[in-house]
Parts: sequence; C-alpha cells; structure tokens
Amino acid sequence: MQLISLSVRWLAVGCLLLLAGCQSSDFDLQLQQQAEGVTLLQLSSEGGFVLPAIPDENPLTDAKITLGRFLFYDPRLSANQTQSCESCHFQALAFTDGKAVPTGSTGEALVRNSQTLTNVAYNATYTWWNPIFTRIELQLAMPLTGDTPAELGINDANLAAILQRFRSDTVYQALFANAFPTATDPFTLTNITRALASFTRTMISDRSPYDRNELSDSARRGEALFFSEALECFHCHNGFNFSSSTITTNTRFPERPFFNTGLYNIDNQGSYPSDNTGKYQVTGDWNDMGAFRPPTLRNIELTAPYMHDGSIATLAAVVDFYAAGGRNLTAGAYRGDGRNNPYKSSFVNGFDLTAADKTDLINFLHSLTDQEFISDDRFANPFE
Amino acid sequence: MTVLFTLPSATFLTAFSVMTASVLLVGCGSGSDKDSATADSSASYSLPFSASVGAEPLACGERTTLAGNANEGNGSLPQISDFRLYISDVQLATANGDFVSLTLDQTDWQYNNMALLDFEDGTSTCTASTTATNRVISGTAPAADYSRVRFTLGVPEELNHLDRATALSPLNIDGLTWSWAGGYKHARMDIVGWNIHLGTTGCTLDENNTNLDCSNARPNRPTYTFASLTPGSSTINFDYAALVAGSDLSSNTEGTAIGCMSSADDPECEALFTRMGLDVTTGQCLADGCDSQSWVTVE
Repeated sequence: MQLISLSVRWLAVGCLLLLAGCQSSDFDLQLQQQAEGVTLLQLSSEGGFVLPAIPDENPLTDAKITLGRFLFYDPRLSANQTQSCESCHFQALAFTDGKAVPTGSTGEALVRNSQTLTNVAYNATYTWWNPIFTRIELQLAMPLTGDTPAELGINDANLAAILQRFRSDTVYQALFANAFPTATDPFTLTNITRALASFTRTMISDRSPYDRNELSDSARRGEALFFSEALECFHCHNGFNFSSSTITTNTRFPERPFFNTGLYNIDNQGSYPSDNTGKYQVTGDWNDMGAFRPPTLRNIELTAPYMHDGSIATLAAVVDFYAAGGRNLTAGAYRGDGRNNPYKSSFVNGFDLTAADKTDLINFLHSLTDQEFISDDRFANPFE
Repeated sequence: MTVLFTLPSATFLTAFSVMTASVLLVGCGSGSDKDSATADSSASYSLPFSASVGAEPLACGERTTLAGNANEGNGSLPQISDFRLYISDVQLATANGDFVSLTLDQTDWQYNNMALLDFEDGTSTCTASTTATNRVISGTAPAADYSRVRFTLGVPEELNHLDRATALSPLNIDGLTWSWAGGYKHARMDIVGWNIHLGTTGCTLDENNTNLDCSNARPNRPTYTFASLTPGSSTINFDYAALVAGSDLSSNTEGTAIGCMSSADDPECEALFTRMGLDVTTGQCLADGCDSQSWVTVE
C-alpha cells in the first residue's frame, strides 16, 4: 500500500509540472530544466522526477557536464589508451556492455556485471556490492585508479602523463578552463572525477512508455502483477526509479538496502562465491553474505545479461528465477540450493505464474525501456 | 647510521653530519642520567627506518634472498613492486620515564601525527608507483636521553577517511588510498604476483545511513614498542622475509585476493597477521600483544 501511495505522489508532482506548459508540446521537446543555471540536466514533465541530490563539493554546471562527456568517451583516459568509460557502458544498451563481466584495459577480468548508468544520479549507493560508496565521486576511484583489478589503469606513476594528454590538447584546454575557471591548474584527477560525476548525473531516463502512460493492456496486467503481494517485486524495486536504493534531493532519511536473492548457497551455509560475496566483502557481517544493491529496472530490457555476475542470460530467465524463489545449482563448483540460502530476502519466496502472466510481466518491464534516453544526443559520443 | 639523535634545534638538522649528530646526542644528555623530560626545553629527533628481505636490503626488482615457504619450504625469490607504510603516534621514552609524543615536523611526508615511509623508488618492478623515497621520521619532543620508541603502523582513525579530493600530502597518493574500504592502505607491501595490503576493514554506514562508521571495524593498526635502541647505531627495520616466513608466495587460494588484502576470510592473511601481532578476525592485537610480532626489529 505504501508503494502505491508513493507512486501516486510522484505522479502528482508530474501533474504540477505539466502546468508549466506541456499541453501544447510533444513529450520530448518540453523537458523541464530545474537545476539552477544548468541546461543539460533535464527532467521530463511526464516522468515527474524530483532533482537528484547534488553534493555540495561538486555543484553541477553545464561546463563540467560537457567536459565529463568528452572524458567519458575518450580512451586517452586509460593508461594504455585502449579503453574509455564507454568501453563498458554503451549508450545503445542503456550504458551497459552486454557481457556477463567485462575485462579491464590491461586484460584483467572483473568479477561483476557492468551496471547501467540509467538514473545513476539517484543511486543510494554505487556499485553492486559496496555500501559505503554514497556518491558517484567515491565510486569513480574504482574504474579510474583501482588496481585489483585494474580497469582504466591510472596509477601514481602514469597519472602525470595521462593528465598531460589533456593539458596539451587545445580542445581540452578550453573544456577544463570552462569547467574549473578558478583553478590554477585544472588538470587534476579530482577534477576529472568531478566532471565524470557531473556528466553521468545527467543520464536521466524518464521518457519511457510507462512515463508516457502508454501501456498496452498486457503491460497493464503485468504492472498489476509487479505491484502485487503475490510477486513482491516492488519491495526491492519500488518508487519512481524501480529501486529501493534510491535517494533524491528531498531525501532526509536515506535507505541504502542490499538483498540476497538466493542466487547461490555453495556450502548450504549461505556462502556466495568467495570473490563475489556482496556487501559482506566490506562489512564482514554474515548477515550481508550475498547481499547486493537492487538496481533500477528502467531499461532492464536492454541490460542483459542479469544479476551482479551476469549469470542469468535473459529477462524471462530472471522471472523464472524469482518464480522459483532462488536458484538451485546441481553441478559445478558453485553447486548448492540458493532457494534455501539462510540470508535470502524474505520477499524472494517464489510464486506461480501462468505463461500469459509471464508475458504480461515482461511486457510491463519492457514498458520501462526509454528509446529517447538511448538516442539522446546529450549523452552521445562527442567525437562522432 | 644514527638511530635517535638530538639536536639543539631543527635548523641544525641539515647542517650537521650524522656523525656530528651522534656526538651531539651524547652532549645533550650532559653526561648525566636525564630520565624525565622537561617541558621547557624541546629538541629535534629523527628516527631512521629501513626495510630488508632477510639480511638483504629491500629494493625494487627481484631480490637474491629466498622468502616464504614455497618450494618445499625453501622459499621463492620475491620481486618487490611496492613497499610503503604509514606510521603514526610516534612516542619516545627514556629508560625509565613515561612515553612522550614526538611532535612530527609538518612536511610532504608528515601530516599531523602521521608519516609515510616509502622504500620503493619507482624503478624496475615498482613502475606503478612513485620515485620519491622516505626512510626517516623527524619531529620534536622534550629534550631527554630517549632509548625507547613506540609507534603505530597505519593511518589513525581520525585521518583515515578524508576526502581524497582535498587531503594533503602524504594522504593524497592514489596508490595508497583504499576506496572500497573507505580509507587508506596502512601498509602496501607488494611483490609481483602476491600483494599485502594492510588496512582497516569493516567500516560501514552509521545508523542514519549517512556517515561512515568504523566503531565495529577491524582497525588492523598494530602498535609496536621497542626498548633497546642504541643511540648512534640503531635503525628500525621492517623485514619482509620475516613477515612472509609462513606464507607460500607462489600460490593463492582461488577466489580470494592475490596475497592478502586484510580479509578475515582470506587464508593467506592469518599467517601474515600473526607475524604482525594482529588477530585476523578482530583486527586487534593478539592475546599476547602486538609486540608478539616477529618482523620489525631494532638493528
């Protein structure tokens, strides 16, 4: 019931915004611009989102967003100039990469699936597993300077040379100067981090058929199933962003949840693969074993494969997984019945679904696909 | 090399040779037993440190001294790729007096009550790291004939969670930040294929889900005390071979960090932690104290 009232509330916010002049315009041409002095962060009337929280240390500006967009797509940001942020975050796939797990610029395999950047500004925490990354700026240290494994591979020895690539480029000289006009030397890793955070904060997806209220009859039936106590989906995927790990500029009492969904139960004691134990990896608390952040379901159609390790290939298989109340692996090193994982969320209990119900549910999830988001020039590669 | 030498003022530090300084140390004591420090006369003190693989000085690249217990206990040749440690809360004491704080000079290597020791020079297999090195800690304390020293390995809690965007040197070195755990690597002692990252683990968010809370964390900050400094001849040495004496540097438990990154669950950590005097589960000193450690000595 609470979810429904929340849902009504943000729809009401959307209605208020409609008063600003939506009646006479097409959906995508009448975006609301609400962050002071910023034109590149745009919220749609129909989506009705409130602004994301912007950290005081990194106020949003168009100049930083623009710089961040160039950096995001520039392989010169990696030490060996082979990868950019885009290498694992393709716009066409809602800023995922279609792989189970990616490989870093130096060839090291990562253990977790590249996450969508859809509405990343609203995340209560960042990455699948870490509970203390409460801002994008904190998370960015991982892809930029992380060394176990290396992603972009920046380190103390090569940092100066990497910064020099931008310092000696006339395009970047202007971009950095505009973004950090008071800095004596704006070419710093901190400023790169601020710019990347600013750019990714503008990646707001709120123009889907669901936002337009253009659901097919099947999708509407699927919506009812999604929000039903029988399926319980909404407990972890609630609110305007379909994730309970969501905060906005109005949030005063943040929730930063993590859930074990019963994907593994290696030793019948609840263990997940030892290199991928979720929140437990940080806290060492067994109650956090296998607990991962619930991602947004917006654009979920585009972000296969699924789960923190990309171990479920299709959305239909994910629905089957939740219908079964977890996963029973009967062979291999990770064999074990995840359905009996003692740390599994109490909302993952399984449910019965007819084939028609399943189609309806998936159609509803597909209604969250935002074609305008994945073709929005504001987020596109500026070098093309 | 003089271990612990006293000078009338910090400005003299660079003007005198080591030999002169050790003479001065004797002079400062005025030939008498000066057990208790006086508040109104402070003096400069320096603590030299060194690092080794057994008897061999530690340096980047492959060493000629076998370390660890691979190859049926014979060990393997380590290729040093990093060796940096934060040291904090340095205290001095005379033979019978109380410990007093060494107030650290504020330099690029020293901030607040914490200093960075850096034994790698960015050459050979250390090319991911910095070229600068630092093997000495300097500061001031009430003038006295000190012969005991105590320090903590690691970044103190109050400095461990600074915003890396604004932190000052030496807390702004990317290779020593430990983002995933919300702090710094207290010590980073890597060889090719086997890393040791000591740091505080288990910090999470407070009950308001807002600020970092490390009250239930595993601090992993051992405090060591040394009572046998010989003025004029001693250095405090970190012996990598002694640290890894119970470790197979040629293997790693599958699915765990390569080497040890302070996880209580990583089988590679326990032997190392024991030699550091730490309980791998709690991150506190072992029951018989952190001074049960077996890798740091006064030489």
